[in-house]
Amino acid sequence: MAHAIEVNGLTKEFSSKVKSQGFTASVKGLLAPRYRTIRAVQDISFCVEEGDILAFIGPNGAGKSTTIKLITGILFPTSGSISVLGMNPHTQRKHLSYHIGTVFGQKSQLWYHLPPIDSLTLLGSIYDLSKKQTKNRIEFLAGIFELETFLDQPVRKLSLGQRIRCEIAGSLIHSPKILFLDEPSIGLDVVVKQRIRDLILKINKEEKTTIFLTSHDAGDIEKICKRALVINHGALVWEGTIKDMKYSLLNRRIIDVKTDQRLCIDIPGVKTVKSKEYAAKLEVELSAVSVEEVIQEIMKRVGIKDITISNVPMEEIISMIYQGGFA
Amino acid sequence: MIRKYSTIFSFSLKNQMVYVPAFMFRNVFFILVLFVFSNLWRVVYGARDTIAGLTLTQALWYLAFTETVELGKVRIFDEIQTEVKEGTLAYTLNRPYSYLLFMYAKGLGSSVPQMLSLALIGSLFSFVFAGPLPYFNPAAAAVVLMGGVGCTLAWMLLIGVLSFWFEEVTPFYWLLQKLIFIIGGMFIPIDFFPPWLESLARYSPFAFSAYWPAIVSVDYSSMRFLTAAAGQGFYILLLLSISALLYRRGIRQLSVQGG
Repeated sequence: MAHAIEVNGLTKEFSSKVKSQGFTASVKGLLAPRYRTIRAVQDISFCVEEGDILAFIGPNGAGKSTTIKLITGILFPTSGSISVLGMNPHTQRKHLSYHIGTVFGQKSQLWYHLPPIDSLTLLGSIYDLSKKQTKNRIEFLAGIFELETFLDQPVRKLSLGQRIRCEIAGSLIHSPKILFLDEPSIGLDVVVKQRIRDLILKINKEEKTTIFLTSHDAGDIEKICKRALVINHGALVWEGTIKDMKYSLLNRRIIDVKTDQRLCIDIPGVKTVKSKEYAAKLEVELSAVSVEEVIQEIMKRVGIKDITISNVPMEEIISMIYQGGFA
Repeated sequence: MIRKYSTIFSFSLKNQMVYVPAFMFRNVFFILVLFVFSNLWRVVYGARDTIAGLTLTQALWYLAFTETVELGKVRIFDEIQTEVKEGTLAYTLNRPYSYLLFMYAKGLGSSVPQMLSLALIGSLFSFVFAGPLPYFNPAAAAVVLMGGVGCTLAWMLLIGVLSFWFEEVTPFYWLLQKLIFIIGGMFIPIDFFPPWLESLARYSPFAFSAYWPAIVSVDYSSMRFLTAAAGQGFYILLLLSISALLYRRGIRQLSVQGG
């Protein structure tokens, strides 16, 4: 499979003015400003296959947005190379822009007082689509994203969920090969989030669009993405499949058990997370003890009424990565 | 190429139409300015029929037209400054258009509804308080008034681009505004100036934002119209070219600031 994105040894440094405290220091700063170098992205390398759905995650300030801006050609790298669909995003930014779409949670591309159909029409002309092509594409996207009922209402009167659907549809007007989604589900309720996830999966399936997603929402990552890249302090700290992230790498399971007596358990590698009368929640470290051994041990002590074995929630995995658990 | 910017212009105009009732209310200030100046000019003219070739009627209409341009334009440098400061400019860059021409077309489109409401009120006021103009060429007036806004917007684009280097560019706008007020003949037609200042001011870029659109509207001649249109075209191109050059350097500056 061909690479949609190929990044090698990418580094980005910024110069930031040092602001001194006090009046005299401020005046000195005006005459002889001092700068410090900040390394926002440090020597990262990765590939994204065509048609892949990739999660690009990391805490605030980790370097996610900077990396996206570098990949889309908005920022110039200090060193390293980037190839997007075989193009250099910095020398061929305009040409590349016809093949990529972006949705930024913080920046709307819809005109606030106009209905979404106007914004979509405008985007069509920005991407040099003919009137007929734009009309056909809007009809297609309106069908997929179920926009028909509010396509003629001013954007200001739409719900957040309706607006996000229009934002994504707008980013797909020119049938991009890669879609960059930066926090698309921010502020949405559970039901709408799920709907947006379904739509992203649908567009990936129907148009083979490569999806590059950044999100702090564990559900987005778990339910949409196949692979993940974790970035922290500008460096890539983990790369692999979501399955690996959950099953192999973390190497922990959660056992929720209901018993006929109070359960007291003291096995190396087993931590009691919660205990209430005849119920307990245990965290099992698989490198120390197997789930089977733990269950056998429980059965020796008490009768089991109900038991559930699950993985550690995605939120906890991500939280661990952010805190340096995998670094 | 042209289609995308004309579409941006028309959608920007449409988007701004929603504010028309708000403009009408804001135009109370405009009426106040016209009222004060109409009284002032009456005192200045006294028993004289003309000053520097302009009648009292023309002088009052002149102000209505300069104010239409001045109050009609939108402050596009504000939007550019905010986008540069907050780094959100980056989000609009990966589109196949020129950011500067996008902002310019958007600014022109947003200015039209404001200008129309101002022109309507200014004309009504001038008609009631000063009477009709002896001769008025509406097509020529529309072209040069739009050209006046085009000149001011080109200045504002340049000021906006300066925000790549300056954290606050509003003082540059204040400076521009004062130059248009004084040298550009905003309140007083350049013809009233002493000869040395008149020769300096007449072909300055600031005059093409205020004096030329208004003088063509109140005292039309084909020569004046051609001078105004050519001057506006020249300065718009010049300012857009300087903005484009600075913008190219600024984009690298944005890279340094981190977007």
